[in-house]
Amino acid sequence: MKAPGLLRQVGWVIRKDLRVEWRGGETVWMVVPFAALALLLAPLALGTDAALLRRIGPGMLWLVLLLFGMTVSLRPSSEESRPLRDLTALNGLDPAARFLGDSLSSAILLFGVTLILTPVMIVLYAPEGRPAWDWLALLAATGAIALGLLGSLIGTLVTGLRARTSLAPLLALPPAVPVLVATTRGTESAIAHRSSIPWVLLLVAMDLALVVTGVLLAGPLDDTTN
Amino acid sequence: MARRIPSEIGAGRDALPDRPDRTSGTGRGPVAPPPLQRRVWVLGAVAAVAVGAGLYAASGAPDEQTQGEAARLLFVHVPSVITAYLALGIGVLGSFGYLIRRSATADLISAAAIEIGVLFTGLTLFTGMIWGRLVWSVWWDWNDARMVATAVLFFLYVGYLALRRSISDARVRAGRCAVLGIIAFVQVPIVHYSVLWFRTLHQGPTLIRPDVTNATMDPAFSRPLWVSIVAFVAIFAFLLAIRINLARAETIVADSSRSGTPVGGAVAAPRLDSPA
Repeated sequence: MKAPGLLRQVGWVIRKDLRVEWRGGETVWMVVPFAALALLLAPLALGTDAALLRRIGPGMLWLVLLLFGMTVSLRPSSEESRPLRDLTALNGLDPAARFLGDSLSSAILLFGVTLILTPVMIVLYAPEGRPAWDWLALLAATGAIALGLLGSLIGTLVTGLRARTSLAPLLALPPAVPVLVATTRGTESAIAHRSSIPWVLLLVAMDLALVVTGVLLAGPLDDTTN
Repeated sequence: MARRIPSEIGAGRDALPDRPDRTSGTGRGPVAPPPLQRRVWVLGAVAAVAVGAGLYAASGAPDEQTQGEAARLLFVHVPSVITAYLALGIGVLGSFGYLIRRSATADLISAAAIEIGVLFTGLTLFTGMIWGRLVWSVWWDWNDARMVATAVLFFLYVGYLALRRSISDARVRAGRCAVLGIIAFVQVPIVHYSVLWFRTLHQGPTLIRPDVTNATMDPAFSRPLWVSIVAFVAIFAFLLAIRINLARAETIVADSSRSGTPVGGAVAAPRLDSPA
């Protein structure tokens, strides 16, 4: 029997992850309200100066998305245990397909979180200018993919570790700095109706680099999961 | 080199080794941690001489026109960052080595080099901050892309060390750390070229630059700087040799505790069947 192609396998993993999210609702009912609350509380700590808030709005949005979004992409996968991994491997699931599927399902969830939180930021922080929604959507998509890929890669590194909760953010946040810079500057440009192309290109380049790295290293990483 | 030793004080000739055992406790009996080899001490002596020469050369350099004595930090700051690049470079080569050949030695060298690389990256940040305070009047400047990028690099590799400490299984630890070692190294060229890619307060590259023939430093400074760099590299080689030796000893201890064999000859396991 001919083994199903990589894209088909990726589709299976995405469907499985989204179904788990649909049943549990962790992202919608926990991460989104928690992140919105952080956006609400930040001005209370930084000061309610309207000019300051207008300036830091896009940065706060992406900082919150980075910190809280990582909890989405770093969440333990449903087939994290060795027996389940062995079972999926015996069924012919490619480690690269698992990596891409986990990453893209996280990216879809993160994109949804961004779509909800961007209007919240615009309402609470009132940044100057009228947002260019097409650029914002593109930045949200490319940024979410980068965070999803990075989260899946780092999530595999900390699979099964007792220190997973504290170790995963320490490993994931430093490489996410270019994503934070590109999305923040890109959002500022989109709100000020300037071109966000350089920032989108930077994010696309990062997405491609992470896809290549993740696919190449998925096999060796899979060997170390017990 | 590992050597087998008698398992009990005063044990007879039978307990002595017939040939060196490198199986570190998994073989026929307890194994002593490897002693420091002569070449490690030679490396130490070379490093001490090089440090002396570096100090002499740096103290003989003239005062810089605008920065005065603060410019002397150059002889610590620049060699620190070059040594950090070298250490992290060896670390990533070791990571590739492990993934390609599954060699425990490659993992060991990689881990030792990265650990020392973190030390030198920290020293780079520290001396950079002192220099910033003396010359720019601030400890930290957010407009200095290299400073920020170096801090990110430092935390990235601190994460590597944390990951290493979190995994007890040697095979799993080696595989995952090799992957992280490769991912983390991407930050090194970002740190180095940040002064070219971004508008930043930090000066451009002086030694490792795209147009290598175009020297921009006066020989009165560049000569002692090179001597300092050699001294730092010698210190790195010495520390690396010691750390590898230590890591081998740690492996022996870990293997011995897994196999239930006591380490060293001074302690003998109690024998329940022996006469009182």
